Amino acid sequence: MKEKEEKEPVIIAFICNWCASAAADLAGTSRMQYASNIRPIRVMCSGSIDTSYMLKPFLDGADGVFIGGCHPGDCHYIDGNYKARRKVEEVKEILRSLGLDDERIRLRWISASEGKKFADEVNAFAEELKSKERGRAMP
Amino acid sequence: MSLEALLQKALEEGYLLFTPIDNGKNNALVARGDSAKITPIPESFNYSAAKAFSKITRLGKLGNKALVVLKPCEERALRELVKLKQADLENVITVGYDCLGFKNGEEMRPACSTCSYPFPLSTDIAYIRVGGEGIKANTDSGKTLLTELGFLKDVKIDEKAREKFLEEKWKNRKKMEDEFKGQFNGYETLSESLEDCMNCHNCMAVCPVCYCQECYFDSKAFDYEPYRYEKAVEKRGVLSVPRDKFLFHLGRLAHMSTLCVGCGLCEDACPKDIELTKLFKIVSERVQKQFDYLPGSDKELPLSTYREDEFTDLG
Repeated sequence: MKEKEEKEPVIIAFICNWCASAAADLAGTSRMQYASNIRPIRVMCSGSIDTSYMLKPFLDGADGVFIGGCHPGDCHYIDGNYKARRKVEEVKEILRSLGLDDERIRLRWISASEGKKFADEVNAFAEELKSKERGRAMP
Repeated sequence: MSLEALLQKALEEGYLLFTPIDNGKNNALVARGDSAKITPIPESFNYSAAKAFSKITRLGKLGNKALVVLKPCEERALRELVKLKQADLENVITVGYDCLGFKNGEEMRPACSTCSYPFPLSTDIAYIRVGGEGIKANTDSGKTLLTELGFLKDVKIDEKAREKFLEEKWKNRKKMEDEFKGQFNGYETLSESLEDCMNCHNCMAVCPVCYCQECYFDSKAFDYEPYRYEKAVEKRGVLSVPRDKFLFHLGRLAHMSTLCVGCGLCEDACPKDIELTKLFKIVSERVQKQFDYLPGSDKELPLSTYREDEFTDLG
């Protein structure tokens, strides 16, 4: 049992209070099944996530970082999601430049009504990470 | 006419000076005094004048007119600090000069030998040393000052010589990029290159664009309860401590790679001689390229602005 647990990838998910987090709730109340690999952290805005927090999970053994924000134009704080996108691009470029795997960080736009999309995205990400080596993002 | 003469004259006319003294050992605000100590173009590079000038004007602008002497990399860093509201250039006339590079012992500092911007970007006054010699005004306020002090003259500039000067730097830069691929590529080489790090945070302390009052990496964010270490070591078998040694450099990159001017002071400050210039300069320039940004330019800070139609493949 323990061995099987270790083989499952861990995804740290930062989800926006106004959309992706509500979508996660919707997926739950609609009884949709999705990968239990994610460890959701609700934040007030995807734009509020500091770049160092996007990197920190990898050093603590996580396999992926998922960021869920509102669709472009729909941000509760007007333009936080656009700024989040720039931050994710910055972190991805740093990882790419250093020869690290930038596919392990993922940004998705998920509105409050898209419970199914949330479940699908999480499943797809978990599935992709399963094909990658575990806990090796930055050991 | 030399830069010293101009500064001397400005001092007599009642301007304040902010300039390196003691051959670059210190930066100082000068109102009067022994002019022999003033060394606008010093032989050593100890501390970024951008950071020093930010200490003076963080809380507001100067009341008196001042001339601030800056190396090209310091000028760019200072302009970033102004954008970040850590310095104020009101009432200031910036004086730049063609930087020929600084030496560490016998050899040129790696940051200087690979410098991409050795000429002033947009200082009010520029002292030309490559492809000619003389003092040139770049802006109206620079012109007014030179006229006032009687220093306005035509300077003949040989653009070809300047291009050649840049080409030499570019060659070294290419070489650095090749070395970078071997030293900072993938987790194994990265951790090998950074393994000597003793977490002293000197590189952060001297960085001209690291401006936070309290650094995240000095904060309590890494104070974990003992049980969390126990839990982590249970999983891994071996757990190196402190935990943020590797993250410190990556996190610093994440925080300042859009601002890095490639001055190389981080490497000078490193007691373990880690080749930080290579790491920060090359990664930062790649990040800046993504955002089409040049630190020191008039453009808005990349992380406080955005375009709706960019990076659409990310979301």
